[in-house]
Amino acid sequence: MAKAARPKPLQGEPLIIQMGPQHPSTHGVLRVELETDGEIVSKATPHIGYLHRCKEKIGEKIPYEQYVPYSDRMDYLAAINTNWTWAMAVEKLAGIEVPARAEWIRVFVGELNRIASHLVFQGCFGLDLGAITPFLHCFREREMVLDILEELSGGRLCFNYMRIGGVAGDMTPRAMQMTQDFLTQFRSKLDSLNELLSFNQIFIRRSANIGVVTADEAIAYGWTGPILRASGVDWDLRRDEPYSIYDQFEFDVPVGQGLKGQVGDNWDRYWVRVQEMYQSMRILEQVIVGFPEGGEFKAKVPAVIRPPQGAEVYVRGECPRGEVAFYIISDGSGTPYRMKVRGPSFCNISALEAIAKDMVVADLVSTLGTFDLVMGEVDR
Amino acid sequence: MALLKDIFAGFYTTIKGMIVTGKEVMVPAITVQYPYAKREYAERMRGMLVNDASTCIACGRCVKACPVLCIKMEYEGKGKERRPVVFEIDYIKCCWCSLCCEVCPVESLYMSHDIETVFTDRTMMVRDFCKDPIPSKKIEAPAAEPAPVAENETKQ
Amino acid sequence: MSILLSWCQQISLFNALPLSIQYLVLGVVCAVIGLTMVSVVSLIAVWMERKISAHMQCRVGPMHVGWHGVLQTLADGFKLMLKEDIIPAMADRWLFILAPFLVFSGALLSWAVIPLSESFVPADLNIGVLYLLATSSIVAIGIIMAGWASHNKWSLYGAMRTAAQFLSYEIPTALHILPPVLLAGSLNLGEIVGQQAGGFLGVGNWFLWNPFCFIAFVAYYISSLAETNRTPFDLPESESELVSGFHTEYSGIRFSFFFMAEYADMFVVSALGVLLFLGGWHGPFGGSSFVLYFLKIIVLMSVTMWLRWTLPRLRIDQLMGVCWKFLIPLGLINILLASAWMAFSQS
Repeated sequence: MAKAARPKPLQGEPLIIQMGPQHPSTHGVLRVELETDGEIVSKATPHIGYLHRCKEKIGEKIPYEQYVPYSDRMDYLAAINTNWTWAMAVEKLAGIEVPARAEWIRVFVGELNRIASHLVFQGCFGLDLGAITPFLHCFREREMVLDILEELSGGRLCFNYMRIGGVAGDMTPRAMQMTQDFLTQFRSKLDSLNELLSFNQIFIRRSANIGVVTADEAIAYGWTGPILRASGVDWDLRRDEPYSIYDQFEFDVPVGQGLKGQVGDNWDRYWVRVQEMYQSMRILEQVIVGFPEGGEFKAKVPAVIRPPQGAEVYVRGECPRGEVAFYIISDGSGTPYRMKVRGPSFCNISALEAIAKDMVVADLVSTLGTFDLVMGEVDR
Repeated sequence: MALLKDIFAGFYTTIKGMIVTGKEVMVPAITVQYPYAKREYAERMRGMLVNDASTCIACGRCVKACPVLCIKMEYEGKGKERRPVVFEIDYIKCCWCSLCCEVCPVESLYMSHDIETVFTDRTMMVRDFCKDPIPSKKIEAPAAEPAPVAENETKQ
Repeated sequence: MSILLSWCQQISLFNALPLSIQYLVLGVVCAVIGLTMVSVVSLIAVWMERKISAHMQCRVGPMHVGWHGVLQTLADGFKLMLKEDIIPAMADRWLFILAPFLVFSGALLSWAVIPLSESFVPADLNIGVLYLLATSSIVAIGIIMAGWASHNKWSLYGAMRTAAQFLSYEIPTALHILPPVLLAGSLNLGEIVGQQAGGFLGVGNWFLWNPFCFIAFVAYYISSLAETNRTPFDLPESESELVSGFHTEYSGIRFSFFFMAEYADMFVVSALGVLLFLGGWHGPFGGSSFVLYFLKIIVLMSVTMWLRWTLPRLRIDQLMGVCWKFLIPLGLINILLASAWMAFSQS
């Protein structure tokens, strides 16, 4: 190494550094190739594909009802919402009517899972900025949600609760009681979390005015979900194109207002999700009040679902990370002819390269955190 | 001036945060000291997938329902006499989805609450429930069906 | 050490040795004693940290080894010692080996002048405060060395951050130590403490109650957090950005030296804070005991830990901003006012 060391004229060149695939804050197996000058990033290229499991191809090979566990593993932090969208897509494709009780249960578990997913985001974003205690507090609250979901579905991460034409198990009184207990406690706990993390001056300084994305840019990148709303676009599928029974509930759609900085900065993306948890609580309260007595929780569906030949659907659902969508073409057999998944994280991450320019490495990490990536869904 | 404002806001919010974490010290821990104490599992909790081979009628619905093809079954006999001779569950492939349990007509295949199964070897992760049966939970039931099954097995 | 020397010289066999050898032998003995004490203190500090963090996070922390896991750190230490010693292939071998010891010795050297009680001072230097400031800088060299030698880009980032952070924060630390030194008129730690005895309820003469010293104490505390790599200033090893900064490539016993040095450093800065501002071993109602002294240190260290488990971390430019735009001007103004006040009150 040291031999023939000839003195060179001093020259600077960018330091290329690999962030990931094993890095504590890339949230899975994302690799970002950074070109840095000191601590300032001049170029960041995300490399994906480390978790590719051919979900779309598998979907073409197995029967419709058996794909539900696979959709669990796509967005594993919001498994129920992905399950739900898949079930909706197949129901639309095959023309299956879902009983009312099943729809109520679906909204119930869907909103619970939204809270669980946003809690993971809130904790992990704090972790990206170096605050460790809020992370564990968030996970303690998430445990309560997972207990309820375990009571209903039997799982704690990959719930596999939705079925074509309904849900896997009926609502239990115990789950209802647990949810009521949870809702009474959760509001004050969320408030204390806000005190600990959201309104901490260091936290605000680290997240406000950083990674600003305007509304036009957000739409151009195909962003959906909370990070689109944080940029000031008032768009929520649950309200604007209500699926299931969302038109029966009253809730607000939080939009980024730039409270601590500009509209569409990291703090806004964080705050929109915190606000969404309050809204999910409102929906849950309404579900508990209006939950129907009796009724079927699963429609009668044939053992093998055979949608009509040539039918094709594109069905979207509002996931905690954005709009997840399934595009299915049927050839009349028991398996889809072609299926395509639109993963929200995949579209969201596409903006990283543009945002990351001229950012400090520490800010890049936190900006990546606000995207709330789930690599299982990016790579599928 | 902005800096001073920041610094004072920093002090103020730090103290507020410290009060929150300080209060948290008083709250009893929610964690369970695992090997000594265990948390309560929900009734529908999905633990290890097991099959009670003595009640299994080898209908093969579970094999068809499995999305990951982890069940391998061979049977003998016809009609009501149909019994499995090989019923292997490959835990490497199993994804704990419980789709097989939902289609089981006799509820011999079910998700137990057992989560403390450790394998030291990949070959141990395939379990044949005919050679290595689980204690049947239906023994206490007064049903007369299991008894002739046992007779059948002894005859063969 | 001089007392120890005179004791040992009563032994005829020892006295027969030349004086230089006598000093050498005693030096080694004292170093071993010091090393043991540093280890014990950092073991206790690590246990405290783990317990405090656990209870803040609704956990219970280590419970199995010893009473409430007191000996857990010791067990971990043994485990680290038995681990494979890994030196990365492209690492600068000698610097890599040297760095953890340099960091640790920096922390150890500071202990020489810290009085452990009123009568027991390992080395009673008349420039104790200056000596402390000097030795605490050695840690920075060790950390930069570790980052450079690891041949890892993340470590290098950690090292560069350390260079910037430590060199900047040396200045406010020194500036904010000055007001109590001015008040006491001495750089000897024992004398500074001696002047804080008595007063109202036995605590009235603590330098903390002096308005200039109070400001100095708060500012000193903040900069000492940065000096010891604690949140919110733990940038050199920020685990979410830099994997784990300068000690990414270290494992086993070498890592444990970094770990121990951090807590030994924390003890030193807390002890200095107690000595300079909180009256050292002088307690309320004229009481004076090393128990009180250690209690105060533990309280100060607990607050440090409390802060760590509450706050997120700053960004590097904000860290520099706090230092250069706030702490240093504040320190200069504070010293100016304190000396003006002293001159005014004496005349």
